[in-house]
Amino acid sequence: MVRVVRTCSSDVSQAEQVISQIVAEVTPWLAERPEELFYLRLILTELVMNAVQYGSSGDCRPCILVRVGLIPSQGFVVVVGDRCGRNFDPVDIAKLQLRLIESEQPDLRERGRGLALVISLSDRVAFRHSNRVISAKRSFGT
Amino acid sequence: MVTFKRANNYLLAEVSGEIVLANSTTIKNELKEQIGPNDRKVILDLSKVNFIDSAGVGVLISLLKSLNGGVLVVVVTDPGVLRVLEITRIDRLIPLVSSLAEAEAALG
Repeated sequence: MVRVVRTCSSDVSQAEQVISQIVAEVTPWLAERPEELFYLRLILTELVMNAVQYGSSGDCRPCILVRVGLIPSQGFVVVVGDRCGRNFDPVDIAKLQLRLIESEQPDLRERGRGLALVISLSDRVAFRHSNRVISAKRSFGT
Repeated sequence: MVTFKRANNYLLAEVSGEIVLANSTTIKNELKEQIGPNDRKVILDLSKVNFIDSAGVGVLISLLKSLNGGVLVVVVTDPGVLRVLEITRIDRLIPLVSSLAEAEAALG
């Protein structure tokens, strides 16, 4: 099992740096599964940026904890926790995003599809600790 | 980041690399600056794009809205990028094709 743990603040450029570092660490393990590397990066990006944009209170302390666990032959889990988040309910937002995507009406919003992507690409998404920790698990072959 | 080419009856905009939160505003602005009111047919070539996130999806929606009823066709070849556009149902709003020739045919 490959485990990577990082922290970052709610600063977008710092969060991008952390995402790049994690992706670089797991890349050799997924060299033969480029599509899974794509999905891992996407889930990681959406969860971290979700915490940066909506959850975190905007200070510069490293209050976002990012953990990635990877079993190269089986799958991965991405866990993002935000210990200084604002009053933000990702469950409601995820439900709304999925409803709008599935709606018969064309969805012309320029934002607000990140959690729907995470849910669509994961086998299981869990919201814990008053929704401040989101984990997304994906098994290969799904 | 975006290169533009005017053909007979359409504007070709080609993006390479990735379309993510960090560069989405820049790409959006470049597209808006280059696409004029007379550009009624646009092909957005993403065949050299290997990663896109939800902010990148927003760039496509923004471009579609800025065309005010004009026709937009998107060329996508990367399977991951295509999956993102299918999950977010962008394929219901914008025709997705796999080559420039198909895009030209779709424009008519």
